[in-house]
Amino acid sequence: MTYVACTADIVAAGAVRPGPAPVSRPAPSAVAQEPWAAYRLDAATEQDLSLPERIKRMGRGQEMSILAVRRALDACAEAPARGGATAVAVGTAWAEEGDEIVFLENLIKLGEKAAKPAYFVNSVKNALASQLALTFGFRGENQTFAHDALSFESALWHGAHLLRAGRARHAVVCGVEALVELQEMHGHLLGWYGTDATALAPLAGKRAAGQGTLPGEGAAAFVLAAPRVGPKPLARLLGVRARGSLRRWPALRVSEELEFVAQGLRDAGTRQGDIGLLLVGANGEPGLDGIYAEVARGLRARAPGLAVGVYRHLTGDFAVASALGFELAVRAVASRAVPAEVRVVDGTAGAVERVLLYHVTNAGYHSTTVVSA
Amino acid sequence: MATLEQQIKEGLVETLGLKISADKIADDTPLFAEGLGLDSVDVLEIAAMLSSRFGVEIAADDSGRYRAIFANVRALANFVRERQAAKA
Amino acid sequence: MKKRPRVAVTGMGIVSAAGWTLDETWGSLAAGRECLRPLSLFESQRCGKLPVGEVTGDPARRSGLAAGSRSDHLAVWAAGQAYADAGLRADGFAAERGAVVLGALTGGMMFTEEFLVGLFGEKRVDARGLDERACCNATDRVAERFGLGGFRATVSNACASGGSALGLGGDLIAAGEADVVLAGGVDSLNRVVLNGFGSLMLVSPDGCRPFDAERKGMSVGEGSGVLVLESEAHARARGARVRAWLVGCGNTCDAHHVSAPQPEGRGLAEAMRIALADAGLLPAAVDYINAHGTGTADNDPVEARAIRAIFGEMPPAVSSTKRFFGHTLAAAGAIEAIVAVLALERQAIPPNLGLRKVDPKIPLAPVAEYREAELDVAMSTSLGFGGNNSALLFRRAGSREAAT
Repeated sequence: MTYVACTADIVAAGAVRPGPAPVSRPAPSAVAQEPWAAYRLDAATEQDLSLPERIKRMGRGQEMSILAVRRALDACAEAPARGGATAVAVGTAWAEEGDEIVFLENLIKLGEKAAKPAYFVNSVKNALASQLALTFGFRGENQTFAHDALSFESALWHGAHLLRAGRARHAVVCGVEALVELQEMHGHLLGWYGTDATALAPLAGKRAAGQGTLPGEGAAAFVLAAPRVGPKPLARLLGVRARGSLRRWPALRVSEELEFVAQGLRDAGTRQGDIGLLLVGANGEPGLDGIYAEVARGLRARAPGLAVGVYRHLTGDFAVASALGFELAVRAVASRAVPAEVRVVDGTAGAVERVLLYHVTNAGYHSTTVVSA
Repeated sequence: MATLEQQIKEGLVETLGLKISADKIADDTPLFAEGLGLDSVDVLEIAAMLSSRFGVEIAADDSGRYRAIFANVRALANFVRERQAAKA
Repeated sequence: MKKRPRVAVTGMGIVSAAGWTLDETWGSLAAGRECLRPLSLFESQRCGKLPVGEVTGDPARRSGLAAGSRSDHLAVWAAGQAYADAGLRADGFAAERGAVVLGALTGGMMFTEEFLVGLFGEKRVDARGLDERACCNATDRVAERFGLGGFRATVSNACASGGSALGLGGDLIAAGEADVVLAGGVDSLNRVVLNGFGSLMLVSPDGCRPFDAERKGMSVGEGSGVLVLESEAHARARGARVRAWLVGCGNTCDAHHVSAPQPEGRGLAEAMRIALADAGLLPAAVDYINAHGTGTADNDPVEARAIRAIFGEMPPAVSSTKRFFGHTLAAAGAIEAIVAVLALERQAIPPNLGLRKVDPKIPLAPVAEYREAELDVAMSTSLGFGGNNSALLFRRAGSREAAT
């Protein structure tokens, strides 16, 4: 069977972004003596998370995804219907791991009789997607993708596929990650994260070697519709392609990455010359920044005018930060201009018609996504 | 000393992490649906709280009365009193 | 909705408390063998004496992986059997055209627990194990072992994950996104799951009895089931033996409650209806349903109501095989899909072990004893927390209708 590009109309987007700068906090003493830093939601956004009519506690990821979807729905000219015609696809590597930790902490400190059932229910990774269904009445296909840096892109593919197969009229696709202290400990103990609360400077070569990146959190939600249904869309998804490595922690090779990007463009039926902005997930970590820089150089060798942008200086680094990058790409093609949250590090972006997103991680996950006006 | 109703309200707020203070809960505020919006998972959390704080166990044969026992704080307090009196 | 192109099932692999192979598993089912036994994997005050579906033997030795969680080992073992069963070879397809989709929930949760015990206890932390906690590692390790470089996803739809993963695997074939998909599910026993279900008062003290009047809850289990899915053209071109056809799948959400199913089973009924429409089949075409049937107070009557809503007064033969495996969570949908395919192949209905007297409130008559039967189409259903539902439809390979 021949490959069919995964396309869909994007009719609305909503984002929950962390504060613009990393915030310093004391680290748990068992892990580090120095304070550490992370990109977190600012106080105003924290306030927005909590709905006045809701008295019951929710997990942080649930609150973030609901807020992102609410913002996307508010931006919809014609909101997706409640009921079976609207599907939900969530990409989240860790979902409510924070609640899982609370559950375990109770078991360990107070014994098995102190197990808290509500935290167990939330520790199951579909707690976000099912809470979105519950909150908004979406009863269609409901799918949670939990696979590190492939999570959001898989959810996006799935949403577009459901529309193409006629199995949904709308698909609400959300990428969400709530920062959990255990994840910060993990990253610090393994030396991935720096401690300095200065903003990341991706592709600027400013962070000293070994200083690492910084963790972050956030959510972005998109309402997808089958092509040519309803009013003119905000943007069009032309293709998304996400792959994992065949080896654990592979040595990344620039030539292979360039071939991967070329294949992503072919799948999306796009020539490189049509791309107005290359938006990359560079996170300030010197090794990975080096790969991104080489790939950007390789692409610019073929299209000298190509503008290259970064966005993680405002989000920090997390598995589905690419969802926030995608939201910027959608805004870029919708307004034909580069949003203020994108820092253009090379070239000059004119009226942006098409954006190529490219992401790669040290674990060997990589993806390309093409969005068009 | 705080009344039993007061103690139960504080127990609810702490155990369930409710986003209101205990004094905002009336004795007859429904715990479910349009009241505090709790559900059957929260019933189990509350049962564990009653057990650890008041030494009151809810047995399986109470299951037919869940709706009545967990209707509101007053009903919960009456249930606790009933069980404590039976034990004394 | 368009009728879905049928997808060939060309290989299967399974591991659970009921055995390490397809033959061992079917042997347990046909003999009505009790496979649940007291937990031995770790110490537990609450759960130490509970009968669970624990895999016997050493999964790490079987998988041959140098590192990884119990889930990783179980998944790699099941995938290896499926790969061999399908007669796949590394040079038989392009790596880029090979996909992996696994349902997984708990991953290496034991590693998270170990880290926290160190943190809270002796204030000594060792982060190395944390790398092994992710539930997607099982999917990665299957992809790495068998050189599958195409689409890769870990689906985490609570206890409906295995069914959802197979549905997504079918989607990848239908969309031309892959030629070969290893799809299934995996989960392993751990303290969070046992105490979690325990704290929800859902666990039976003496083993689950699905649909029984005296059922007291579920039993927790572990295992993995993996199926090889291919397009019809690809399977035929390489001369593969087709074990069965995946002809339909439905996936819905109740949007009703965080953990309990919608009381009338509306979401599950809708998933079954979609699966039938997907396959272009009428309800009367279905000969056997392998039910989710966990043995909890809520699940069993809800499922029965959904089945009656779709199939009416004369539903097909139904059995739940949970008493053999325990509830294997994200693996359940895949393990039970394999049972459904084996039932089609062997023309026999596996028994609803544990059933003595059907609950009068449950409008079904599950098959209590193993029996031979002419089966052409089988359905497998799954329900999960959050109201996630999945229904899969399989058709016998030699079916006259299927041959056209």
